Amino acid sequence: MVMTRVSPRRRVPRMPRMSVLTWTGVALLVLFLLLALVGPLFASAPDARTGQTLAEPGAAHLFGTDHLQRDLFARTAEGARVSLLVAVAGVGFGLVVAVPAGLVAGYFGGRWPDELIMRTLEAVQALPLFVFAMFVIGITGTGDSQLGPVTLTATTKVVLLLGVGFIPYFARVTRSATLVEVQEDYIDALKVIGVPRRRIIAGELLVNVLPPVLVQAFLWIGVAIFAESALSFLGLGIQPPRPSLGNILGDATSYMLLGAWWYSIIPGLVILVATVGFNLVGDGLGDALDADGRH
Amino acid sequence: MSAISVEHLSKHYLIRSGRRGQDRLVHAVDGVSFEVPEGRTLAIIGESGCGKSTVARMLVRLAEPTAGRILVHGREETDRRTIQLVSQNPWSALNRRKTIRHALEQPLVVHGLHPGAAARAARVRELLELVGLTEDYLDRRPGGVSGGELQRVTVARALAVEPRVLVLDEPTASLDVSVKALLVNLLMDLQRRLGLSYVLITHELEIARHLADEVAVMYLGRFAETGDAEQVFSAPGHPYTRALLAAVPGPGREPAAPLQGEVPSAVAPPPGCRFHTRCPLAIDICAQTEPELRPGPDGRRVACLRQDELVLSPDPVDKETETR
Repeated sequence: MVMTRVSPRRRVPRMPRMSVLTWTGVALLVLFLLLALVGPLFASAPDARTGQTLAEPGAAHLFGTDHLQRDLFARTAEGARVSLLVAVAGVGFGLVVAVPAGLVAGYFGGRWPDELIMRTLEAVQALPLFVFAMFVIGITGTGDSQLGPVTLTATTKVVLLLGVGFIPYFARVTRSATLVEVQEDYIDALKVIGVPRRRIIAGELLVNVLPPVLVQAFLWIGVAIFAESALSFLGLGIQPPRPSLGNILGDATSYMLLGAWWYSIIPGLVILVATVGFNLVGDGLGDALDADGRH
Repeated sequence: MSAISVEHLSKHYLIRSGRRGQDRLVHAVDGVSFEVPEGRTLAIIGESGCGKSTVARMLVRLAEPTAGRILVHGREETDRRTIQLVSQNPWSALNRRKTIRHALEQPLVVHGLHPGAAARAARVRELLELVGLTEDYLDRRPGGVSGGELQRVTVARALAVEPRVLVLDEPTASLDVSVKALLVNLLMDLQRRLGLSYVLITHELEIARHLADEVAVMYLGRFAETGDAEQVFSAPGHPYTRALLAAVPGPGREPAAPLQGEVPSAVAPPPGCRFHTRCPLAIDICAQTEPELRPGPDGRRVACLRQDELVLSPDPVDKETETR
């Protein structure tokens, strides 16, 4: 048989058309990332005293100073960095547990491993995150606590709490993507060839299930920043002197009536920018992925 | 000795209907038996929903038979590799994010065949050559390859584990007409070179006519007629086979009127002959007595109570349409 040599058609990656909302999201996200990742490099130490108490924003102190004479630009930038790291770590921890759980549940869709995993996660989900957080912090305290040989700092506790709270959602997204994917004929084909189940799940299903899950996870980084801020605002999260967007805002509330508007407005705006930015960009990524999936 | 012999194979599915409703039993396949001699092809033909794909799934052990046995070379086979599958939709049968190289190497890796990177690469090249593809395809993903070429890749993947039997489940159904013939030729060529046995599941009678040595006509989970392909296609015995063949337009022939009514539900198959509800020749007894596959004088087996009368009136279905 004569085979003409066909040169592989390279698919030119098309730039997805982005909506105004997505562009807005990108702009907000860039702004936030600049503050969180580049800001701390240019700012003074977040604990350094400036000698000025509650100074208004100006040339010397871009975001003003707080009641302990600390530069608020330095603290907001460092706080944004801490919040971002905690959020990313929390989402990452959630993914590490949820993706395998969701894959296994989806692979066995409807049979007992699925039931076991999903009912367990529903039990976790039934507990409101903040009630659970208060319970955990109430028992272990806001300081470091020992868990066997491991020392859990307050920051680690927040990461774990966020992660546990997100696991049910991430697992559900993973499971539903898996349920669709296992309908594909290649799963049957691999079984017939004799490919072991673990290899099918980890080697073949995972690569197809991961993209929509990662998009979802990206969206949830915004939620995580918001949740971390709320926990720290209540004093259950990141502990001073380490700044986070939430605990700066928490301190600021006492000085709002004294006219220090910048103290609470600025970290509040940063939380807003981060949350909206991650959400809009995540939505845009999801749309792009959908468009790609439809060919 | 037969490559495959299947004895009284059945598959019943239980459908749970709500909390209080009665569980219903779907008779997808009901006691079918057949043999495929070494190096030959059996085609199982029938309408969609007749259970032919369930037979395919049981042969490749994707479904557990409710009853019956599948023997390979006279023994109950424990090695999955012996019977491999080529399915209908090659786009779905290959992982869209994996290269063709990955698809062909994986069976070798999993079964420890041709160990070593060099030996494995050589075997992959050999497999590609076997199905008439060039090495250019190795690093491509299914997205940029045509259906006919992808189906060749799935054939190559099935052959990677050195099977003796291929189950071809509608292998050409999703391909362009121009490509179907190429694949059929490839399959015939491979059968000759490798001595493979085929079980071809199809509703495309033309494909069955080209590939099959023997034919089994399936209706509602049972065989209506089995026999030599040439005989069955040129002089169909069972009224259902006649209707099935007459529905295909041929040169200078209009397709006959299609069968009246729907295929009855497999949950409650009709009593007696399962075809009697749509059979133009049905008489009272057909609704009561279940016909067995009985061998006729020419070696073919027909499951019809009026088999003896059928021989006398050669083509009652066609005659009926002519008088209209």
